[in-house]
Amino acid sequence: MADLRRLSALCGEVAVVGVGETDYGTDYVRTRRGEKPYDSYGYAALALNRALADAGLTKDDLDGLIVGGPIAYERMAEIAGIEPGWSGSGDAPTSVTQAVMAITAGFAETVAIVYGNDQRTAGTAYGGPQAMGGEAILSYVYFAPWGMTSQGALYAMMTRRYMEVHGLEPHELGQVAVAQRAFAALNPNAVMRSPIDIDDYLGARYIAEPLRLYDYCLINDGGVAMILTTRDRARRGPNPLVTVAGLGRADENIGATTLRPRLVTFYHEGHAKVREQVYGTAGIGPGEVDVLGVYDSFSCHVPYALEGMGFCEIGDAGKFLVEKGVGPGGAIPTNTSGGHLSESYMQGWNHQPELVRQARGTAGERQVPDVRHTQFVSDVAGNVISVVYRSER
Amino acid sequence: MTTTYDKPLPDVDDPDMGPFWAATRQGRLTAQRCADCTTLRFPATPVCGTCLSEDTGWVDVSGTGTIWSYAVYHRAFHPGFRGELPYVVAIVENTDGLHYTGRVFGPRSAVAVGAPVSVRFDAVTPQVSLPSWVVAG
Repeated sequence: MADLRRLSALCGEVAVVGVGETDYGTDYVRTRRGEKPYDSYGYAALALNRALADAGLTKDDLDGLIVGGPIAYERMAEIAGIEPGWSGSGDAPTSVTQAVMAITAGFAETVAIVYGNDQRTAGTAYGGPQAMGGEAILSYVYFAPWGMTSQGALYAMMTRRYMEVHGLEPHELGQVAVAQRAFAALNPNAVMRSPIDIDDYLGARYIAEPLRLYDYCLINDGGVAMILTTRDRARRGPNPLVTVAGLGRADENIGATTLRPRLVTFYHEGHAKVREQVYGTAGIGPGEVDVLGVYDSFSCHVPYALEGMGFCEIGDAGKFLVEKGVGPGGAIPTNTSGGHLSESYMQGWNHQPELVRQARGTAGERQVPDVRHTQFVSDVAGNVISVVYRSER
Repeated sequence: MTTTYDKPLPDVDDPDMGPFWAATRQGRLTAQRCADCTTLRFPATPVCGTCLSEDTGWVDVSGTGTIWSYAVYHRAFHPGFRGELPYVVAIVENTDGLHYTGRVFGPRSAVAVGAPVSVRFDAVTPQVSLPSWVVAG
């Protein structure tokens, strides 16, 4: 069980001093024309350069490297010409967590976390006979004979069960896609920027019913990087100070092959543990979160996270989406860059720079006023994990 | 031997799941039962997740249950299923409390969370009989 006292000692001590992303929108247009501007390492390297420039640092300042997506840290270090004292790999929130751990433990002072993915031009399949990891992940092997051949169907089943138990209506779930597209319309770097309304959502075709086209994330190429360092060093940098103020993680793998954590408790057992950790370490509650980022490979993650983190009662997310709102001007602006549904599918990575920008107050037209805390939540791939960023301007 | 069956097939020689597929060929639905703590488990695992016992047997289990949840495929991510769109895949809870994945056959209007179903075995190749679930019309 997590020890909040020791975990709290990690929080508030590390800052995000640089963020960098590739040109999702223009690269999407180029790849649709058949061009391939970069491979996964190329996108990662470009994002790293931009994050270093944002931080006012050079590669010689780096002594830690953590990578995500289909890239290896050994090769990334070779390409970037760095010999870090700490390296590793992980998904986005795990990479942030690992960077904080490496820095507070003394392995490194300044860590780059880097992601690159050429999934669109590489034809990466997240469903079907060659689905990514299909040979290695038991659930795909187990389900495929029955035609259960895609990630979307797992979430379709989760949503169907949730609808039955809690009465979620399609027009309520549809608020997520509509709200995120409204944010993407304000983000010049987003892939999909044309506004949609609830009729567009409801009129779109089913992929795996009850999920429709706009419930699904994009598949596009790109890269993301962030630079993290000690709070003291961050104070000397050019950007408003944003610290990692809260962390939490709980795994949910028992019964995962028959989807029990999704279909029986909607990941809420993991959410409950993470809520205690992340808000306990940050010293806040959900009422003090100004901007939320939710891993949205599918829209339905948003209602599960809203309930799981306590933004509303369990079972009330549908009503919350309609009456309180998660879009521009809503009660809890969520995925303000457009998220995976409309900005870019960088597997939780593009949410991190957006939450840092919102905390800095530099998110342009989509900036939420008076932001002090931003929070990321993901509930995918066997764990619930969350990060709170704090503006210390 | 060649077959025209063009959908994914399970590995009937899998060290954990092999006995399950052998039983389906005989028209039996089975689960593992821990010889020490008696916990039923499915799908198969090399040790008991409740007590880590390595001593395991297989027992016949109930072929009736209810739909826990389901998804309706409107797009075929595997080409073998293209001709059957839209098709229904469900997680069924049998009366022993075990969860099984399977296709659901029967009237589409009867497919619902909580709907009663019974198992059916379809011999798709000489080696593989797939359990599916039939919803009463």
